[in-house]
Amino acid sequence: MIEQEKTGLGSKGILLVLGIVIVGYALIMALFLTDGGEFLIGDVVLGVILLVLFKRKPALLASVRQAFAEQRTVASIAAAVLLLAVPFVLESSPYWLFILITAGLYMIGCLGLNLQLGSTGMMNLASAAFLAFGAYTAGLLALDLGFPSWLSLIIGALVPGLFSILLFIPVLKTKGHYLALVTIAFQFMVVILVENMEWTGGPQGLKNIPLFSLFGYSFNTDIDLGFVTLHHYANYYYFVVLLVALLFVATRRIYNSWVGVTLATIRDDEVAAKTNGVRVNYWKLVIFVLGNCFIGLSGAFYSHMVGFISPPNFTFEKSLVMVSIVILGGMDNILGILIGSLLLIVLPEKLRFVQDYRFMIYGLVLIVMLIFQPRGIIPFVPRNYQDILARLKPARKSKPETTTAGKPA
Amino acid sequence: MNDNHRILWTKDLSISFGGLVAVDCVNIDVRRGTILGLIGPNGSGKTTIFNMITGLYIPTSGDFFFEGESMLGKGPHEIARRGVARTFQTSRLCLDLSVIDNIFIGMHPRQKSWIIDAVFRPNKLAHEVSDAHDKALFLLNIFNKNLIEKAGAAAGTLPQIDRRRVEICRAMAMEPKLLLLDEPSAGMTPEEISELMEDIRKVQQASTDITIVIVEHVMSVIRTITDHVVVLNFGRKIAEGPFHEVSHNPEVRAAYLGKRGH
Repeated sequence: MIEQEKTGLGSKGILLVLGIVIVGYALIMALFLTDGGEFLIGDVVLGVILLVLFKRKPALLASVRQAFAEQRTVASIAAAVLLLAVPFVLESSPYWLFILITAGLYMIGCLGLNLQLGSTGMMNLASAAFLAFGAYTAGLLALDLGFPSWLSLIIGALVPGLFSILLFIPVLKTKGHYLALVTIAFQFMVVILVENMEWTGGPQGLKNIPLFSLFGYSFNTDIDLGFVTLHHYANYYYFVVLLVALLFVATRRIYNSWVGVTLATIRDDEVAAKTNGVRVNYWKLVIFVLGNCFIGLSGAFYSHMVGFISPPNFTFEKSLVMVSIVILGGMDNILGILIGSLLLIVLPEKLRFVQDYRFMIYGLVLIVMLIFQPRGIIPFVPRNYQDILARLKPARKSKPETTTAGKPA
Repeated sequence: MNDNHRILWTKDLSISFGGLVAVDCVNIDVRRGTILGLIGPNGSGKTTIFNMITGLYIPTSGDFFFEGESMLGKGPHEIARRGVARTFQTSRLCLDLSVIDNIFIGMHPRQKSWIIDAVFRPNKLAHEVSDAHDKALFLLNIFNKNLIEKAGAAAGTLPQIDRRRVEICRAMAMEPKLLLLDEPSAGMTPEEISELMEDIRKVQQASTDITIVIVEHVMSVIRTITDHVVVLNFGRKIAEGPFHEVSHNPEVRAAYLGKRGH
């Protein structure tokens, strides 16, 4: 009741939020369930119309934002239910479930890359190398040393973080384009090393990596619910959704804290940051390590899901895809990263029907997006601390209330 | 002069870029609690001195002391953390960030929570953000009440004079012992300049023990607010003293009229 009194939009807002979430979901699912390009074209046209509309009428976008901000709980519950339902909807097309898991893995990695590139302004074109670090660490630990997969997943996330300290010395001494070049060099070094060393399996890579299992439950078993049997990918799907949700909340909290402000200042004006007492090198190191841990986690997850990794999985191309996701999604825009991952991973798969032209169309979409939405899919707005301050309001209000309640009237 | 009376002093401070000597053996004493004006024609080395004092440039020779301790070779963030805040000639705000966020950065050295707190202890963080928020609004209130309405707007949407105000607020958020203002009146109209002088007075009143060094071209500003003036020309100190004395110095007049000293 109180909630409704506070909101400016009230039940209209709930309808708007539910409408947007459900229609968006239905359109995406329709994309997966149909073979042809009709829905793809429809979705793209609709997306373009929405982008143009929002650009022409910023007030409209503002009210949508407001509705989502007010109805956060409703939106989160609706999104959670719909996300959990995906394996049921895609029951007959596990291929698309697999593509969605892949998009989820990109989301994990790109949330890390976004911390580096989007939040702090450190170009990292070696993200595929850190994916490889995570994947090979997890694979080798499980394969050669018999580590349980949950443990090798965690170590697979941590090792790339530690290794990035090595790369950090050249990273600190270089900036801008030079930093980009250093990371490209590192990327190629890692792939060549992995290809030529014997214990990484050389060009053949690692085979038969134990698939993920938790407390004796193998993720390779189909989920039989009696009325429906879900493909075993559903296990990985739910796990990846959980990880993305956790990292989404974590990175959002970092973004909305003074840590996020510090990183943004380093990105926008390093000199201003320094003269305000920010230890720039320290923060760059912390974020470089943390971001590469995310990327490593993504790689480690991949090796336990597919069971087979080889050098071609971790080429420079992958690094470029990840950087494109961060730029297209919107630098330092966490929700944008999720949408960007979905778009850039699903689109090329969906474009298979045009065969040879698909990467041309994919490139065209990228260019058009960057011309018309250079700051990312979701327009940028300055931070807003109302949510954080609202967290304190009940506490502040209740204090005088409890003291007066304690006194006899 | 007794060390306790001066908050900052330089000893034969010099820097050269390539063959060009930008600052040549400059000795400056800044007395605690005063406003010192640093003046001189373009290219006389005023901003370069600021850049050395804040650790952005490393002097070629000489030394400088803050609170009795040599700051030579210390990084900009270390010097800032000891209580030296500055503004820049062309304001260096993060134009995409909100006014509040820009002021938050000034409070950075005092923020205690880390990434772990940000992620796992939202309540602790909320308290810190709320305190910082109150303090930022308090600072904005001192300068200009109109700025409070714009607190959530991106700094890039503000007019030049407001940006400079926000930059001074950011510097004040550090609670500095020494505030360096680099040409705060650049590009302002006479009305804006008089507002600015009002602001600087407010800064001094808001914090009684603050010391200010100001680089300025507008002589009315220097005349009204400074206690002491140091005049530079071609990287050398050519005169110092109260403004009314210095302004009659023939060498200073020659420098400002474009003649080369002796």
